Amino acid sequence: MPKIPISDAKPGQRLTRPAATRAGMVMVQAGTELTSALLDRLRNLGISSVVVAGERGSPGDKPLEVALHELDERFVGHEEDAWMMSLKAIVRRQLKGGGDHA
Amino acid sequence: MPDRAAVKAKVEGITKILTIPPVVSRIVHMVNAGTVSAAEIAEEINTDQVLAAKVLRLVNSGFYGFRQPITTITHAMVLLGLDVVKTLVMTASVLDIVDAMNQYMEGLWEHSVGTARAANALAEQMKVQNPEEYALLGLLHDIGKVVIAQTFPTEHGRIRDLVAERNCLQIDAELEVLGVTHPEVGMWLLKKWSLPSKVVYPIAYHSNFHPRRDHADRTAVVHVADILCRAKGIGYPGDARIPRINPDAWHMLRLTLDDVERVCQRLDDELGDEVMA
Repeated sequence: MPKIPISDAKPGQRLTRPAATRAGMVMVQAGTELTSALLDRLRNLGISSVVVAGERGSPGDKPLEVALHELDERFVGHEEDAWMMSLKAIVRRQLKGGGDHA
Repeated sequence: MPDRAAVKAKVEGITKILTIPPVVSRIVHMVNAGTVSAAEIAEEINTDQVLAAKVLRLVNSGFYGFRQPITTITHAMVLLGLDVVKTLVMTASVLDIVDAMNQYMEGLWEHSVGTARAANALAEQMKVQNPEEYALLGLLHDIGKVVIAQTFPTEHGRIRDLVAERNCLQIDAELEVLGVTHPEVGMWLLKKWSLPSKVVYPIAYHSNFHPRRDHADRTAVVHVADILCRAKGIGYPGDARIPRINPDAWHMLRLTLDDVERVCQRLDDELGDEVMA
């Protein structure tokens, strides 16, 4: 389920997540099919991206290896701290297990 | 480096520029007096529709994780309680925190909402009385970063450069460039707004925990929530590092790593894509 910039969204695509403003206010429910009028309205509301049904691996989807690399970077310097390493293991497990989050 | 007193005076000075509208003063007095009903306070908030809309925008921003949007102030009062609504009124009226965060620091709003959800979920695991108050603390814990960016644009630029150059925590760069840190700056602002110490202390000390300080339990939750949110890579708090856990703060929570795993999973499940991206 790729998250794409609104400029790349096209009429006919279906939302798999609600479209929400940056403040988190839901404007259009998941399942809605996009029309050009609806896309105009979302743009006017300042919504910059939407999650639509479609092929995986689009630009908005962060590949697992990138996410894991960023995780390693964030925890640099904490190798000696057992609690911090446990937290890292938890997040790593969830990254590998979840998969579908944009 | 500007000296400490000068920085403090300037931060406190902005509360004069950002004047508190009379309606907000009235609301704060009503809440503090403790003699008026929630319905009367809701009515007062509703006399200013712009303010009411801003408060509802904050309430529906995902920080408390409601499944259904909250459409009335009265409903928000029932769910969140007077103290939370009072603080939201203050925040929404004086500093448009959502816009300010988005404008000055890309990703800080997402980090704040993520930390709010983490604090709320930790508080629920701990079975405390008012988990929604903990969510509020998470939402506002980095408010000092916004104040620094707004009030000291030159220094803020140097702080950013230093973080980029050294890949250090923003708080270390703040200390070097400004001589004070964002939790301290946040504390000065919130104190000027006369918010209660149970709100001010956890924000003031979330990066410098001590178990014997007042409101240490709330402070501990914010400290851990901030770390969980950074570990999950939600938003961008101004640097790409994670501060080390304070063991005393962790012990104060009386939680297990299984609880932490559950809280982290809830962040995945409950935060919208607009925050998780």
